[in-house]
Parts: sequence; C-alpha cells; structure tokens
Amino acid sequence: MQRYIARRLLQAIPTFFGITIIVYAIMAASGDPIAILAFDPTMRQDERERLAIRLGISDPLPVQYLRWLIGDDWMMVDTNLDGEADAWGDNYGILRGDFGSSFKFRGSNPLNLIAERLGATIELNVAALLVGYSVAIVLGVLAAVYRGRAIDRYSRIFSVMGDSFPSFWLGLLLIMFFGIALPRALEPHGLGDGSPMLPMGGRCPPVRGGCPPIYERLQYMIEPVLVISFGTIAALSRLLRAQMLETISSDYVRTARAKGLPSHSVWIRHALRNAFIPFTVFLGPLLFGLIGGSVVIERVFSWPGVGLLLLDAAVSRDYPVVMASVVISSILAILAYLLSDILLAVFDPRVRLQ
Amino acid sequence: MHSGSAKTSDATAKLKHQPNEDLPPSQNMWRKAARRIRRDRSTLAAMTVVLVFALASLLAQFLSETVLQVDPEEIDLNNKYLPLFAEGHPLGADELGRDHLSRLLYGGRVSLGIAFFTAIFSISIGITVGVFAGFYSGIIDDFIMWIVTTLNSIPGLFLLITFNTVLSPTPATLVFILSFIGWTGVARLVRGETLSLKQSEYNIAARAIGASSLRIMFVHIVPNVFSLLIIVLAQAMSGLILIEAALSYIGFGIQPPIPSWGNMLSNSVDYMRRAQHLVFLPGLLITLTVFCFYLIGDGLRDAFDPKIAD
Repeated sequence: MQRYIARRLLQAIPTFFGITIIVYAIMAASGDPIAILAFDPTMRQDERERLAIRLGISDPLPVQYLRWLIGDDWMMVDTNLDGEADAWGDNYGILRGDFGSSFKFRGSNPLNLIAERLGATIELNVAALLVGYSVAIVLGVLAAVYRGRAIDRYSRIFSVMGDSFPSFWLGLLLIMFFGIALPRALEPHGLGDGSPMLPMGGRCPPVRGGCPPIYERLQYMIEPVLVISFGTIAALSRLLRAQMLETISSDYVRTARAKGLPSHSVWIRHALRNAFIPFTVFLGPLLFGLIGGSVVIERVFSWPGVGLLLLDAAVSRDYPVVMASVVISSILAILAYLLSDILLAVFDPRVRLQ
Repeated sequence: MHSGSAKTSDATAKLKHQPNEDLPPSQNMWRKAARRIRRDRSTLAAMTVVLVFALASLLAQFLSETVLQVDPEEIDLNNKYLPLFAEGHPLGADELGRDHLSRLLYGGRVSLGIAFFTAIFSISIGITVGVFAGFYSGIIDDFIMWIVTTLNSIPGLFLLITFNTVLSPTPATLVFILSFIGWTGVARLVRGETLSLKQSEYNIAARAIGASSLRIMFVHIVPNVFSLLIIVLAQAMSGLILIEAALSYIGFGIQPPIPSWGNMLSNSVDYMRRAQHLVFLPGLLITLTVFCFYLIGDGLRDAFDPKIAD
C-alpha cells in the first residue's frame, strides 16, 4: 500500500512541473511583462525599472522560468542596469511559496490572499458534496431496486436535466424565484413584505466583525448548495444505479439470496458495498469539477471564495494572484485525484497490484 | 491500379472483410446505425430541434433583416425592457431597446459556431496526436501522455480565464484556445483504440506487405474509430456550448456588443428585477440545445453499440 501511494506521488511530480510551464508560458506569451505592469497606474517609473530588472526581462525565457520557479536568492543579479551582476536576488521562487506580491493589494502575498478565501470555497463544496452524495445514494439505490417503475423513470429524467442545465442559469432562476417572483406573488396575500425570501448572494449578512458561525447563516448556503449538488446527484445516482444492477446479478449476491437473507440485507450489505467502489473513482473527477466550477458558482452567488478571487484578479490583471490561484487549484486537483486513487486502492486490492 | 499501395489496400480489404463476404462490415455498421436512429423517436426529435436552431442561426441575418425587419444593433431607448409579444418585437427588447429575438439568433450563430468549429478542430488534433501516441509507444507516447495529464490537471475554466486575460477573446481566438485544451479526451480515446488495433491481424498483414506507418495509421486505424468519434462529437458539442456560455457569463468569453447566449444572460442579470424574460430566454436556449445534443449523443451510442440486438 505504501509503495502504491509513493508511486502515485512520484507520478504527480512531472504533472506539477508541466502545469508551472504552461502557466508561465501563457504569461510570457502576453509579451513584455513591464507593459502588463504598466496597467497599474500607481506604479512610479523608477519602481517599474527596478521591477523589470528584478524579473530578469533580459534573460532568455527558460532562465526567466527557472528564476520564477526556484527563485534567484542564490545567484547574483544585475540591479543597476550596468550589465553586471552585483547583488543577490530577493525572489524565493514559487517552490518556496513566493509568487511575488499582488499588484492590486499592494505587497500582499498571493498565497495569503488565497488562504483567506479557501475556507469559503471548501465550506460550500463540502456542504454540496455531503448533500449530493447522500441524495444520490438514496436515489440510486431506489432506482435500482424499483427498476422500470416510476422512481426509476423520474430519476432518469432528473439526471438528464442535471447534465444539461447550466449551473449559472439554475442559480439565476433560483435567485429570481426566491428573491423576486415569489415575494411579489405572496405580497398581495399578506404574506411577507415583498423583500427577498432568501439572500440574493453573499456568504454572510453584511455586518461588522466577520462571518458568524455557519449555523447562523445557513440561509446563505441553501441556493448555492442546491445548484452544486443538483449536478452531483444527476451524475452519481445513475452511475450508482448501473453499478447496483451489475453487482446484483453477480454470483455472490445470488448466493446471499439462496441462503435466505432478507432482501434489504442483500441490497444494502452485499450489493451497495461493492457498487460503492466506483464511487471512489468518481470522487477525483467530481472534486476536480467542483474546483473548476467554483468560479461560475461563486460569481453567480457573490460567494467570496478562491474562484471569485481569481476572477477579480484576472479582471484587474493582477498576474501574480492569477498565476498563484491557477497553480494552487491545480495542486488541489492533483491531490483530489490522488485521494480518489488511494481510496480506490483501499477498497479494491486488485488496483494496488497493477 | 498497379501501384504498391493499391495492391496493399486490396489485400488488406480482403483480409478485413473475410468474415462477411457479401456485405462489407463497416457499411453494414453504418446502415444498421441509421436504421436504429430512424426508429429512435427521442433522438430524431432532438436532431430536429438542433437542425432548426442551426438553420435559424445560419440565417440570422436574413431572418432579422427580411422577416423581422430589425437590426440587432439598433438602439431604441423608447423600447427599453419591452415585454414578450410586443408589436414588432416578438420576444421583447433589452435594456437598450434592441430586438431580443434577432439578438438571440445572432447569439446562436456565435455560440453554436464556436462549439462546432472547436469540436471539429479538437477532434482532428486529438485523432492525430492519439494515433501517433498509440502507434509509436515509448518516448513519444510518454511525452504526449505527460502533456495530456498536465492539461487535464488544470481546472478548465481557470486555464481559460488565464488565457483570456492575456489574449482578448474574439470568436476566432476562443475557438483556438478551446481546441488547444479540448483535444486531450479524444487523444486518449484514439490512443487506446490504436494500441489494440495495431495488434490486430489485418494491420499485421498490412505491415507484412509493406504498408508504411502513416498509411497504417490513417488508412487502416483511423477509419475504425470514426463511429466512436461521431458520438464524441455530439457529446463535445453539449460540453462546449456549456463552457462557452459559462465563460461568456463570467465575462471572459465573447465580449459585447457581439452577442452570444452566455453574455446575453450575463448582461441581463443586472436588469432581472425589470425584465425577467431577458434572463430566462438565453438560458432556456442554452439548456435546450445542450439537452438535445445530450440526447443525440445517447442515441448515437446506442445506435452504434454492437452489444444491443435489433
């Protein structure tokens, strides 16, 4: 088992370097970095020149990339434009967590900005994952047990809808319904005062002193969690149904029936357990989708997470923050795949041997 | 006819068609699929809807100039937030009084066009890369699979946003960028098929009579994955329409004033209290189109599935 995990970790290393190369290449393709930095109107001319030297614009691209990756504090760089290296560099490189400093929030470390926002993203996605998995298991098992009956047909329609509904549109429809349409419809009947029934976005009430504990602001989570888990349920419930039907026709389940076990015991203890193995396989892609999808969902519900940070940074061309959020989210994605592979190896010993 | 390659193809064709002398198997498979689709009502309905949308988008200019007699760019501040079924504007007008129906038609042209060309380009790249990776295993394969894994490990929207902060997105650059990151799935699929097909008897026979590697790859292997790729095309269309819409929605896709369904939806959010049909209609069109391509993909998969009996 340890050897399997070690091998998977080693495989992740070239992927990580590939990601940094792609991210750096895109940024380098944007042309002169100083022209990009000049988008910041508060930057003075001498600062701009110093930065140009510090970034090593005159170096060939691979050298620039290496300086970005591993830093330049171990080498002499030219700080006064005379063509000779005269001082130690002051950049630690992204491998040691130095992504430079944010242009927009001057001097802030992009990693700190991300760390501040990561909580909100994780909070939302864990909640959605819990809701999604629980509903999907119930729905998938019911659809398999009552195959071809009403619940099976409805769950099929539900899942096709879940695959084709754009999450942002569903989110907007919910906001419109609970925020505008329903209050307007109820107001003439003396119900409510026409104000939104659920918050129209945000993570907490706009008060001072930070966010209250999560149980005091559940109303903010209802709509985004509904939207995210809708897609999860749609995909997972059909997958589970198919797996259940496959295991239920296998020999050991027939044996369990033959020795007279009650029906629920066969379904839950024998079939569901094994049908669950592919669920761990699906966890990786699912988490990957959640990380990527967070940009859209967070924009729809103004949820202050990493996705929204990336969007704001991209709009204001805050390149260090953009690069940091892409690299960090890719690391999270690699870890998600790793986690799902390890879980699979735990549940399914055959995988370890490959 | 007397050239070496013609002989090769004759010889391999005979080998390939050995099990079924009277009907070539590939043709048989396509005919069977067509027959199945003709009987599959939900797939036919979905195809009809997609065809209508595609035609309406292609004829966007004609329809708005001649039939509706409006200009999608014409601003008319007297007609702001016109509701549905207004005179001269069947689907109302937006916050600048521009005709909503004609903007939806032009938007469809952009959204469907981007998805279509991206699907074609990324599938072509995917076929080429995949067949090379599968055919020449070893270092070429390792290198290609490294790129595939790397591209697959960056959340797609994050990568697209990064790209689009650097390049300002027009429909053409968007097709380029989406194809650049979209080919990996097809490459994997074709690589897997190539790995198994290159060991098959007819390809060993082709090699024995001296067919070149390129010929084996593109004449003997690639046609065998075409039926798979048609299914992939339908699935890719639904995925790409969603991605383009999401990207335009968050402001990093097609930029106004060029309308796309995604940026029309995004634009209408600010006015959702005044005109809810502006939010509802673009989203409905995206959902319907994606839903139809989804059904078509499902239908094609069943139609080409050899395991399903007629």
